[in-house]
Amino acid sequence: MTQQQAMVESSGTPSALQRIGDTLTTFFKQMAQRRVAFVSMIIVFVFIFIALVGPLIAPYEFDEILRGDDRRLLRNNPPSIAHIMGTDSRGRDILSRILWGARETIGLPAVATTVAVILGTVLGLTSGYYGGWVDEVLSRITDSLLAIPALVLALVMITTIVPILSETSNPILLPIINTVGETAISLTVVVVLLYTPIVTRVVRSATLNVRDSGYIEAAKLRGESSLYIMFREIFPSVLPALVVEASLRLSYAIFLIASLGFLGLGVQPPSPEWGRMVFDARDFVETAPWTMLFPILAIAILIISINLMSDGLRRVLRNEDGRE
Amino acid sequence: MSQPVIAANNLSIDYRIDKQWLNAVRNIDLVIQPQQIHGLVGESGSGKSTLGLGMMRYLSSNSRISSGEIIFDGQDIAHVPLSKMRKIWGRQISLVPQNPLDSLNPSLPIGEQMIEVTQLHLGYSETEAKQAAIEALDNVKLADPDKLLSRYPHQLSGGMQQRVMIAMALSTRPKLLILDEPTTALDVTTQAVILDLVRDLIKNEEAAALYVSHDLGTVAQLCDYVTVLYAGEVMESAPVKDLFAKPLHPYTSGLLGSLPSANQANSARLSTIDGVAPSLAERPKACVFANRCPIAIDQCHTEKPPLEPMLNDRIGRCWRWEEIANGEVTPRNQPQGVFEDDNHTADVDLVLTADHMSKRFGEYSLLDRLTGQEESYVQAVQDVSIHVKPGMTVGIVGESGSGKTTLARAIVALNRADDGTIELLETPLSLQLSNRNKDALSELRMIFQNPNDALNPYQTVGETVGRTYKVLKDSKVKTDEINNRVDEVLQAVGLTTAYASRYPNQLSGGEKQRVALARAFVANPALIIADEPTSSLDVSVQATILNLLKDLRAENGASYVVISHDLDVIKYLSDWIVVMYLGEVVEQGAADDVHKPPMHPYTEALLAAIPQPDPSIKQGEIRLEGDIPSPRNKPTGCPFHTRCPRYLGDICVDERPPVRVTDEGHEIRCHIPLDELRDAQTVMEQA
Repeated sequence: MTQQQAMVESSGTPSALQRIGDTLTTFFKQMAQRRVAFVSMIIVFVFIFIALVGPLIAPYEFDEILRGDDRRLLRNNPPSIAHIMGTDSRGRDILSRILWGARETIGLPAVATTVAVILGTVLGLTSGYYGGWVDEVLSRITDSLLAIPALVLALVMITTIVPILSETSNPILLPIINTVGETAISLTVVVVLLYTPIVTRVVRSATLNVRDSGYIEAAKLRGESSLYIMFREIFPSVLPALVVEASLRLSYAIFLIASLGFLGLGVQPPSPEWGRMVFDARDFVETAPWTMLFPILAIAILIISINLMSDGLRRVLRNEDGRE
Repeated sequence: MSQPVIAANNLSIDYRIDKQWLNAVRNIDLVIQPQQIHGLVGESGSGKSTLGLGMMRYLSSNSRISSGEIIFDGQDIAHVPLSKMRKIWGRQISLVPQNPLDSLNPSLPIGEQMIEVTQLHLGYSETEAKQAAIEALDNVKLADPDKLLSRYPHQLSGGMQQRVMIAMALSTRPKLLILDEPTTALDVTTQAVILDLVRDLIKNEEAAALYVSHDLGTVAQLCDYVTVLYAGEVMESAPVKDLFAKPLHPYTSGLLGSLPSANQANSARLSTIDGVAPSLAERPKACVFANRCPIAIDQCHTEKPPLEPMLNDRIGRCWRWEEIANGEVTPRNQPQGVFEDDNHTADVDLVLTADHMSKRFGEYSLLDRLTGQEESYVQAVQDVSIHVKPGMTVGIVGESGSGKTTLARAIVALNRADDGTIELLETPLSLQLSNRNKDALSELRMIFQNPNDALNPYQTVGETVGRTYKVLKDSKVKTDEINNRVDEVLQAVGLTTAYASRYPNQLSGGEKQRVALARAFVANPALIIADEPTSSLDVSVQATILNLLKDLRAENGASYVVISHDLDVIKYLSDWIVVMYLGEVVEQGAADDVHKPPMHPYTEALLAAIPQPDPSIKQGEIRLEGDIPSPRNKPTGCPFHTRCPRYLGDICVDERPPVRVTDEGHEIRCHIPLDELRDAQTVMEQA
């Protein structure tokens, strides 16, 4: 309803840029009406901001071992003014580690999710648009991938890929491995394998909803190529569902990688990845609970915010509460 | 006159939309007498369903009755608590809804649902209730009622479901029956049967009914008294004969004029109602119809006319009704001129030749093949040939399941035909869409049934139409040229160039269909296939689109194939009519020939079933028994033999009937010789 009104208000021939601007303004206005989703969205943006600039604003390095005036290690110091979140068992500032760790905790899943979303979109559009045996083959592959339990797949992948990657001499892979590390690559592969089928399904069903519409048939009847129909005619109507799904996938990917970190399978020490921080702190849960509390809080707040945000996104983008 | 069954006085109902209350129906006076069938007509958005359901307080939670009273059974039920209404609903006031399949519980057998009604309201025991259910089903002429009780809703056809709903509604002998578009989802032959049934039952049960419909034809045939709604207000309320014979309100007059009728000359324009109905928030303060009224005077725009008594037993809301009654003004847009002759330039004999087209749909998946399941299929179109001459309109008519849409889609190759040959402008065309070249695509265009999904909601009108031009003409064409052509074609379909930058959700249904027409005409096609081009539009909008279709044909020299279930629309548009039944052509001929004897018994039944929007013309007598057979189990011999009122005997079951051709090229596929058909049908007409 409100979306329509906003569209009516903008008159004249809209340029592409102007149109995107209008759409975004409408979108933010509508999001602002849903308080919980809007606050969540702001929190998510804050986390993304931290991931971008965390190392610049962190008071210490992530692996800086701190000593007091008496040259003794500041082990498991409780939160204080100097160290707002306290220090961990090795005398490192937890706040700094969280700020540094945001990049890995959010960045890696973000990259992996993006890859999964792009692949899933292409596969889903293909599967939904062509139908027939293309759909059957793709859907069966999707089904089988979905049947594999996430953690088991992760365990197998990491234990098999990491050794292979560390021995490879492939000239294309080597520089990538050297910059991001074997584990990051295997984690990306795991997330892509797990989430591509899910995104594929969502895109496929959204595609099926419009595939038989008159405007798709009209496009066929003027001889448009399948690529044009999939990406210019169908994709815009898939986009709302895709945005919602992508944000949900991101939260699950963060959660998965943090879980793997907690199991000691993720990014290796001394990395300040949050799941890993929780793992490292598990022995001190009784004596120094803050070492565990703050990374857990960071993960929890981020994931809950993303979920609440995507809930709001769904309602706004799919116009679900247009009717009372 | 006796005590009315129900009476609404000054009734207004509001909806809460976007945090404000909007008035949906306003200051309604409506009185229903015992044994009366009261028709409530209006176009979409007129508030007819709101009022119909509001009379029984059956409204959604975001609505309220903001003023007035509803007197039922001596008490005002407009403000009693809903818990009290539950004793009245189903007991004293029953509802027959528009879509029976939505209203029957799919997981319970029919019997269980019917038994519950009488047990709850009349306190029947299980056996009594079952007996009552059987009687009720028997009343609505359903065969084998005791077996039916154990059936599930999806096992019944649409017509049977609606009969079950009517049986259920009447099983408690209510005083008032509210029918909300009960036949809109049904085919015309089924509709005729249901309407007969409703008419008889209301008389026998001594109940009264409120019949809500957009269809003037069914109202004319069924109702005793009619109320016309527009923009939530009563325009006019009158006994059915008076209303149709002499409408006193310009809106009623306009509605009646916009219907194509069987005895109208095809070259005459339909009169139209200009403009569009106002939305809930934008209704004029004075007369709601003033800005579309052809005879509005200043007073109409400043002052609201009262709902006042007019001639004998009629009420209405118009400042100028007396002048209309005296014949001083004509309250209708007089259609100007006739349609020009076509200036088609094609130098070919036939624009389209589609011969021996067949299409079947199978569900034969990989899994079926692996498990060795037998292939099952539906023969949707069987050996159909269609020829279109330049500048001619061929109308294809048939009920749902007749294969008319499948045929159209096979011609444009949206579905690949299994068999057949197609020639366009005497050039052979592939049955496969991807093998057709740009020329073929731009000469053969299609208009889709539902304007709401024919336009991509994420593209502006200009983008949609322009892209079509660009792709079909020449991909190197300049942007300016495209824009000029888009402006030109938008004006040709009666829109302004400002529409180019609008999105489909900013357009009304009629405007969307105009854009769809613009898109079809932008590349100067030779032939346009229109699949139910007006079936989702209101009658006043339908008239403007029908006029436009005729104008565009004359201006562009295009030919049409028009598909519709509505024989009147087909008759008005077409020069040549093809009647289809279960995937086969049963009759084809010049438009006038198809409407007079000899005709195929199916055509005869179709014509008899059409409710004419004139109570003085009674519907024909012929009614088709049963439902259209599933194309999966198509009858042998003549496909129509299971329902044919002129069934001869075994020959119809065993042998495919021959095609009998008259001198005028009128073809009828029937075992009965033409002369015999003509004689039998002429006798019936005179009787």
